[in-house]
Amino acid sequence: MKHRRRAKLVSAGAVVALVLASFIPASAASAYTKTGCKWSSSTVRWNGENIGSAWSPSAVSAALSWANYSDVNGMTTTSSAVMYGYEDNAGPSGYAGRTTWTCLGGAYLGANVTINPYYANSYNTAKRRAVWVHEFGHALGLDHGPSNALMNTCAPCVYENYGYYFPRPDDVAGMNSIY
Amino acid sequence: MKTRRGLLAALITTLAVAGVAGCSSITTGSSGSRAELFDSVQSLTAASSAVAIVDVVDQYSVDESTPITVSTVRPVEVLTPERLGEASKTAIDALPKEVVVRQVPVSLEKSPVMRVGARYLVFLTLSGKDDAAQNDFYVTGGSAGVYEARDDGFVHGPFEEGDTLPETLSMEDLR
Repeated sequence: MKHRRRAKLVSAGAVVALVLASFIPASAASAYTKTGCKWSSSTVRWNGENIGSAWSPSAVSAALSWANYSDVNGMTTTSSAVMYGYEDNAGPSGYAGRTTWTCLGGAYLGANVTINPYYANSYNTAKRRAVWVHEFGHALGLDHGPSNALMNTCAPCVYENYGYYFPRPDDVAGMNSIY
Repeated sequence: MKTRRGLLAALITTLAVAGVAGCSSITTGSSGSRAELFDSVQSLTAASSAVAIVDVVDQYSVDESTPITVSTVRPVEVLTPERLGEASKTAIDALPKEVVVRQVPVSLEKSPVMRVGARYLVFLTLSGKDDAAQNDFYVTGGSAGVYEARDDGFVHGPFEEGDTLPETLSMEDLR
């Protein structure tokens, strides 16, 4: 009788645990989202020859950080690439950076990655790098992520709140799920 | 038998080619990093140069490195809520008959741009395109500063992640 009661209690506990688990959101480590497009190879080249000298160091180090932290290879700049980087003073548009792309059947055909000097002129190198990391993340296939990831809607906010300027675990998990 | 296999292979190949070339089409996308997020109407107001109810009368797109949608709007009423322009010190309490409002388009699901013929409550930031011009603005905070007029107030479209603004506003909220 005791055994039966215990078994009932255990199964009831299991049901409660399952119900509770269904209400617990997926861990922040898996909150990344994707654009739905990716490059055909994990060795990705980009063209940074249009970026001015004031912006180039932060852009180059941001691009390399994806190669250093994730399964993306290369991320070195070459004139034959179809991913371009620019600084583009878009004024007080609300956006510190912007990425646009074209895609065919889930494969990127080209991408433009920009930083907006209207805001970024007042940023230090690390904060600029945070914006570039975010934009390169879009150009590689990630959409927005949780508040403590650089793919958060507001990368400068993440830098201000946490001091992050390189890909975070959620960013890396998202990127590694693509390449 | 061989002929049937050959036909089947040809059919599969044709379907595969059609799938890649015919049924797939080139799509464009864009996303970006906001410079700031807003957690209240007060903070949105403080970052704005003007707040107005406007009718959209014309619109076109500029396809530059950062694509922009440019709307010509007619102000119906200019509001002067407290804290206006507090951050930028550029408070404007009167607007010309027509003004230009620029928006960086986000994806349609997340934040549609204004539509011609519709009425909106907009939080505006001077674009600075011309230092003296008081008729050229961006929407404050990208998609944050646009509410569409409804019978009983103003309704925000889908928010970008991170903005925690009210979904609806009434005129009383803006006095």
